[in-house]
Amino acid sequence: MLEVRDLAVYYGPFPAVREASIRVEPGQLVGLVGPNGAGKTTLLRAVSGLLKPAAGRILFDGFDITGWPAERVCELGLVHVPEGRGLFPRLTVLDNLRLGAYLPRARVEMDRTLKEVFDLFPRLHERRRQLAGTLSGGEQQMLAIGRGLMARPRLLILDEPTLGLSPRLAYEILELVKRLKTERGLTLLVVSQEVLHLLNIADYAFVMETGRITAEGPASALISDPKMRQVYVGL
Amino acid sequence: MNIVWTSLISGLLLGCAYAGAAVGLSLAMGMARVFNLAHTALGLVCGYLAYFLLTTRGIDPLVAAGLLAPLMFLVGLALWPTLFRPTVRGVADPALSTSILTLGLAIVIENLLSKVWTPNPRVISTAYSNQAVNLLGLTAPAGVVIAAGLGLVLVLGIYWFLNRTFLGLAVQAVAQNPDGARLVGIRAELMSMLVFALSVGTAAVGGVGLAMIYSFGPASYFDWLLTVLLIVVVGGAGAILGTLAAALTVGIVLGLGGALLPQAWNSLILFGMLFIILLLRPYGLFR
Repeated sequence: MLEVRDLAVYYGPFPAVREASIRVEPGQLVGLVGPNGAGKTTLLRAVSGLLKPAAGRILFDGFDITGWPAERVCELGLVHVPEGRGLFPRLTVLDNLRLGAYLPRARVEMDRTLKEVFDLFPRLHERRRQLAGTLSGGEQQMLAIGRGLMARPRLLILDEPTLGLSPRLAYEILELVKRLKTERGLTLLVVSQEVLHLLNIADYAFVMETGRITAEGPASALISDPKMRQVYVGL
Repeated sequence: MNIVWTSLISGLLLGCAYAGAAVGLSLAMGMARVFNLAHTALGLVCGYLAYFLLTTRGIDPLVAAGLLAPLMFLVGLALWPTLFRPTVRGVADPALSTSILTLGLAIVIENLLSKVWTPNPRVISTAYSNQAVNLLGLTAPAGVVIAAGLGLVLVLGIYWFLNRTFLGLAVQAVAQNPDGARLVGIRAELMSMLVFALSVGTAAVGGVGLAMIYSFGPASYFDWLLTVLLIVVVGGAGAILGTLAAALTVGIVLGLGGALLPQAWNSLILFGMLFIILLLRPYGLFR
């Protein structure tokens, strides 16, 4: 469904991603793990069109979307929930969600999707008239995911959905991510510092270090790899 | 006592007219990060055009405002890619680069106006301009009441657009989080252009409104600009109801000050107020 081939992204003269290749198959939950500064966020931002890659190819559903602007990539159903959540703080929860369905393809189904999102996150329904900026961290993350779902994604990219959350909330969010796959058949690409939990729910995973993909494999295999356990899980 | 009431009412009416002249500037600053110092100069052009249409064709200034607003919207659409986008692109401080650009634009406009209509002051006077209208037991000239109505309708219309239409929400989204907006499929660049064009469109209505109240010459845009800038700063850039509240406050100061104090005190009070507000709440009173 998504294939990234030998991608390179630079910030000025500095390479942030070098010759990175990843694949996401339909129906899979794919994890992307690695230390801070490895280039995970940069890779995702290039995939969704927020950054222009210097080299390499990005293919989604047979389209070559390399260098497409974000607003066109979104139209194809590749929806990115960015690190930092990307919410509109001075608009209400409801308006944030409605804007998630901005594109015509999603807008025609807005009412139905909105009901689905509120079923998934009853808390957002309670707070629908509140300004997004006044929500707690966990609620903001739910809103960010909810807004991503409003676009009716075929591939949902979640960048650090657990960042800054309490262990309990982080657990809940990742369990929800798992349900999005098992109950709705959504395809997901997820970055998280909760490496152990992410590898437990993922089908396949890539490890990224200093801009390169250094390991990949079925998540269950990576989790039992002694080196991985030592570096990322601390066991 | 009566003079206080009368000047209070005329101040509020003046405030409404100024709100109409200021709302577009606030919109462009808050939602498109463009600092348009030519805003009132473009409005003044429309004041002259309304004067021209009235004196040569007998077209009512209200009708002229209705015709000029969409025309100026198109002018805004044309100015964005030709003048503004190149000025904003790749610049660290778009507010500075656009303010220098638009200051130049304002001076060009002033000189064109002197060339075409001479530096002599003009007055828009219709059959009803000086007819008295009853307002809460007091009277005000009809021209002023109409200009105030224009301003009020404009401000409320912009507020409605921003908060009650999907497109308006998208405009706010771009201002609050450009990346977040692009990720839901909003074309941020297109929204900036739309907001700017809308802002120039409102300049027409605001300009005709002020031209119905004051006599004006090619340099009048500068006096208007000072007052309008003050209103935008006090109200907070992008805060539409804040702009209205600030404009009404300024109107009251001008109205009461004009009646009770020597003329020279007006600016002193207004800009003294601006100093204090900038010290205490630099992001605006109502934001």
